[in-house]
Amino acid sequence: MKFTSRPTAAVLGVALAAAALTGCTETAAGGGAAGGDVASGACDPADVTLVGQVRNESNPYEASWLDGGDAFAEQVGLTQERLTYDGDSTRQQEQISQLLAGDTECLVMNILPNGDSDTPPIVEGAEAAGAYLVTQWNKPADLNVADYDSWLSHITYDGVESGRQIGDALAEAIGGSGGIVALQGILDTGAAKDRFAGLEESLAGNPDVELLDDQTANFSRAEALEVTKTLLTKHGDDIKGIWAANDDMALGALEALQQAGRDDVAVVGIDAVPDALTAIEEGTMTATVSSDGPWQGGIGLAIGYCVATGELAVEDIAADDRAWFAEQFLIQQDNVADFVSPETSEADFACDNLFSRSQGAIS
Amino acid sequence: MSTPVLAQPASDAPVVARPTVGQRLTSFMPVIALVVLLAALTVVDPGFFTLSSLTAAVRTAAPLVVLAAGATVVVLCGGIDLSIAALCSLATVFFALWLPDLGGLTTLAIVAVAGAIGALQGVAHVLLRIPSFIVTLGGMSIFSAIALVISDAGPIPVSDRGTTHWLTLYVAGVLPMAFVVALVVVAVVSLVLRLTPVGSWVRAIGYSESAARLAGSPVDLVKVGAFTLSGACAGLAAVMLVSRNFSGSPTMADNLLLPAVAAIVVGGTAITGGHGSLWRSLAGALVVTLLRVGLPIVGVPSAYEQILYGAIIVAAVALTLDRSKVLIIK
Repeated sequence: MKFTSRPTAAVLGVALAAAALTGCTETAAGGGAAGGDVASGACDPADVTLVGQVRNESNPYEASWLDGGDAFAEQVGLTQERLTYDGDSTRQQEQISQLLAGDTECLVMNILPNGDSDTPPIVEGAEAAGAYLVTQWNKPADLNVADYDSWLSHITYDGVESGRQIGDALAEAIGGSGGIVALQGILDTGAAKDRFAGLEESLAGNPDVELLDDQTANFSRAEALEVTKTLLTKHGDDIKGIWAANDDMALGALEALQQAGRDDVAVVGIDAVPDALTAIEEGTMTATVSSDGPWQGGIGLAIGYCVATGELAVEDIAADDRAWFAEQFLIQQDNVADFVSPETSEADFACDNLFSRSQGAIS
Repeated sequence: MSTPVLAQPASDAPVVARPTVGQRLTSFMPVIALVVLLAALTVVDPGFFTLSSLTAAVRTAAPLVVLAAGATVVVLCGGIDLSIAALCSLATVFFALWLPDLGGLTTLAIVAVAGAIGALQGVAHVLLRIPSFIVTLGGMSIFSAIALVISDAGPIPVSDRGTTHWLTLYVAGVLPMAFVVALVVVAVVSLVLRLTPVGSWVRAIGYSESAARLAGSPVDLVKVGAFTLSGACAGLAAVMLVSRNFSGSPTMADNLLLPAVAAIVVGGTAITGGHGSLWRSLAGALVVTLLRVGLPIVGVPSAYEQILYGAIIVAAVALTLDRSKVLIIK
């Protein structure tokens, strides 16, 4: 065993010697990190590296996001590097830090942070390395995009708006009066709170619609099935409609309705997952809301590409366009065909048209 | 000048058989596997073999090295600690919650508390005679649940970064401080195992617990010590994760359990106990980290990534395991 511990001792010795000889530094030496000089976008279009990162390609919405990124990359004659991190925050950070250790001068990243708290390390890493970053969906409210040069834009969706849209669609489907129940998401998430606030706005505008009950089913299909069964037993035929804060719960509610032999109840959700679109086509579900995944995958890369190649300067991006709500689309039976296989259009990604879907700055 | 002539006791140094070339080669296999993997990644993407890229990789590896190092001692004793990742996640939550009150002492408090929790599992293991697999499996789900409850099932941001700032520095501009700390942990534990009887006790327990007990080794004490060390290492790994992510979260380290076990096995430590060492786990952790971050970065599609990961892990174990030391496979 004697020889086996020598390498350990050697490594330790070298490390201690290095520590003694030189001090500690804030950043790693060596190539890559150009150091924040990002506002000068002078990359040759051919030198730009495009990276899209989402949780999981097995999620149809996120796979369509990466496909949209590929479509944009093809449009400008490049390819997109597709990264996934399996919904694991630690793995996401590991991938980003490895990515930022490479050549970052013309690196464009379109990132879906796993949660709000995962955004700060990504933003600071990109800022230090001088890589162009666009984030979507998750950002702590107190983190200000305009404080950074490399973080070009943050895009999200107004949950109040989508909650109200499907609330109104539900009210219309039940003829403007009657009882509904609400299935809420994970209660301490912004999405769940905003969407329910949207429902409350919708109820205020439809005084004859009565909210009989609201329960949380934690965005889960299985929990929604159980909760809906209970609510159907409790309220019976008074229930004319079910408002769910996402499609998975809406699909769970549909399952419960089928088991109970009820086909007179309207169901609405949010996210436009393929099963929900099928249900809308068949007429068993009333409405859902789409954020347009392929567009999301392309627009983040497009913003970074336009800045990297100098067609758009960071300081010329309006303050309102640094953190903004993008347009979302209410899907009902009459327009569901347009969303079953969504496609991107080149015009959406033109450098003078990047912010055309803005519904206003995030307040 | 007449010193009483005492009968010289027989030298208690055992006869040391010089290792053969083959044995030496096997013992360096983890390092060889590491170099081969690095070479392969460089061939696929020449941009991967740069100083900054390697710096980022060892920085990423630091928490995994510490986790694997602690658990290696438990494995050497013939047990397994499945709770390390969940305990590490719980410790990140504790860290985020306690930092405002404890300030600079938080790091020490976390390592101590995590060590104490590890010791508790060790005591349950030796006193109640429950297999370590079961004790730590129970621990894993208990710690996960506690972390979820006390954190309200969400991440807790750490706004005061001063306490962990030292971990994000770089020694000599290239070596991340977190990795240096990981090396120090590996070196110190290795030295303690080598220079004190603890090392022989651990190996004896791993090879044959009943024989070790008959020979008078403090089996129970050593096992509790191993679990304590494993817990403390999970605490230290948690501090490293917080320093990197600026938050504590009840699931932050959960996905590091299998990589940590893989690191131990890829290093060539026998999962059945007895044979192995910490520096092997260090090399194993670097191999696993290179696979985790390297494969996607050099452009392997995510569908093939998992296949390659599994295949390379099995191949690496086949390479690094010293079959002459492992007579029983389970």
